[in-house]
Amino acid sequence: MTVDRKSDYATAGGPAVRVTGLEYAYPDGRRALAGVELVVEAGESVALVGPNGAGKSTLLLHLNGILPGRASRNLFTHVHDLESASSPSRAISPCVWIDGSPVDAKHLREARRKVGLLFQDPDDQLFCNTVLEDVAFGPRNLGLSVDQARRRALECLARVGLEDAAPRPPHHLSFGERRRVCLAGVLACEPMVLALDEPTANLDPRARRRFIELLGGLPGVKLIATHDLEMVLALCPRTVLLDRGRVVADGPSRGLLDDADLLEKHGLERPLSLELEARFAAERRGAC
Amino acid sequence: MPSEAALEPARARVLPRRADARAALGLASVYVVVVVAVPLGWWRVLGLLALVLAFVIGWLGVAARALFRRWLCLLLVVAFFAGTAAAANPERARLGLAATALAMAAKSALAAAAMLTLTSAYSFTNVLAAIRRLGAPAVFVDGLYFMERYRHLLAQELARMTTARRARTFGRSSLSWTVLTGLLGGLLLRTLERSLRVHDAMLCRGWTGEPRDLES
Repeated sequence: MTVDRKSDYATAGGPAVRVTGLEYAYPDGRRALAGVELVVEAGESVALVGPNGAGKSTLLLHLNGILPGRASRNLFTHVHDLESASSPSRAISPCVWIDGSPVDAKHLREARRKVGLLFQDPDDQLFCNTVLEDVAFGPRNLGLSVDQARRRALECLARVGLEDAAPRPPHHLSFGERRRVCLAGVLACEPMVLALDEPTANLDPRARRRFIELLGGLPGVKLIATHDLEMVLALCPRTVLLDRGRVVADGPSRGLLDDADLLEKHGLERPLSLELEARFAAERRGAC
Repeated sequence: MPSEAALEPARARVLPRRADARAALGLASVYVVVVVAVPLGWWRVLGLLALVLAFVIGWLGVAARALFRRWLCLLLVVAFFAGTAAAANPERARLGLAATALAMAAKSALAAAAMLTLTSAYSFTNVLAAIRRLGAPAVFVDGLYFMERYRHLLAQELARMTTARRARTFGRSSLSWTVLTGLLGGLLLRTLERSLRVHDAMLCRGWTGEPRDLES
């Protein structure tokens, strides 16, 4: 499934995503990111892999400025007021650029429009009472009229194969369906960069396969944080390996994921398909 | 107590999908006001109003058994309050304590039945949309929307926490107050964390603090 949308490929200048020297520590002092360097060009699909706590999700949350804002957030103050976010006390030097624009208080709205973030838990992302309202939430906040937002929401639901679910409450859907509705909600904002946090986690095999096919048909930049290395082989030509908040390897997925020693050292395992391939090759060599 | 899903077929059978709940909400409110206004001891009038309600329930095709079960749950609360309030009611001198309490309970139960019928015939979402269209403050209605959206999730979360606790209590069937308050505290913290994540998800999709949905 391919949909030709101008925003999917549009770039104003520079790479689609540039991260330089990004450091971040959680309020409890735990260091999550320690000088991450990353450049993603337009149209690339990149996998972020690494053990638990490597900083994959934290990195994704920086791409549209959700972090580091949350670290300084008073629990009882809602920081959706962009004016207050731009006060000097909140100012931070930008380490992340999206499509040539820094992700700072001044460009926060633009960054959030350009980067669509799919959360790990669909129930965090589906907060409206019906599927249609939820998918239309982003377009309405982008300033679309009610009719335009409704139309776009229905289009995006059709793209994920859930047009019939529009009037249903999200809690009546299966986990896989909820994940697809989340994706529809993100697509409805027509982002330039899709940042996906564990998109196939907790899905049954059929729902996983369907979701991978769906992601494979989407154009534009994709950054996928995942432990599902088979999906990485299927979708991402390039892989970035993170550990302890640092990029420890960056290269073609096939080569990187075939390096059993490197993966073992960083809490991962060679994907089964590559493992079997290596065994068959060894057996064939032995037979010869 | 029956789930929302259990009542769904009845709604679908009887009501048009896009039925405006405003009129129903208005009629239910008028009915409640009339029931409350009926003087204590006017049993025939109350009986007539009960008949009207029974007719409406039959006409709407609401699942009567599920509705009755919900009503019984409320009846206990209603009876308790009627019993305690009857002692201070001036009509007690004329009717006696028992009759006053019974009359108050009957009126309250009838009013509760009317509202239950409304929520059984229309989904909670429809009723909330009607309340919004009638001019209720957005912050109030949005709060109720969130409550409706996440109450299922909280119930599931509490059930999971309780099961996890029970799995490690080695045969003791009941939970102590200490454990129970710990569970509720844990649930509160999880709720707070989830609310932060939900807020992040809203920010990701352009939330600026101004509600904009498909109704407004």
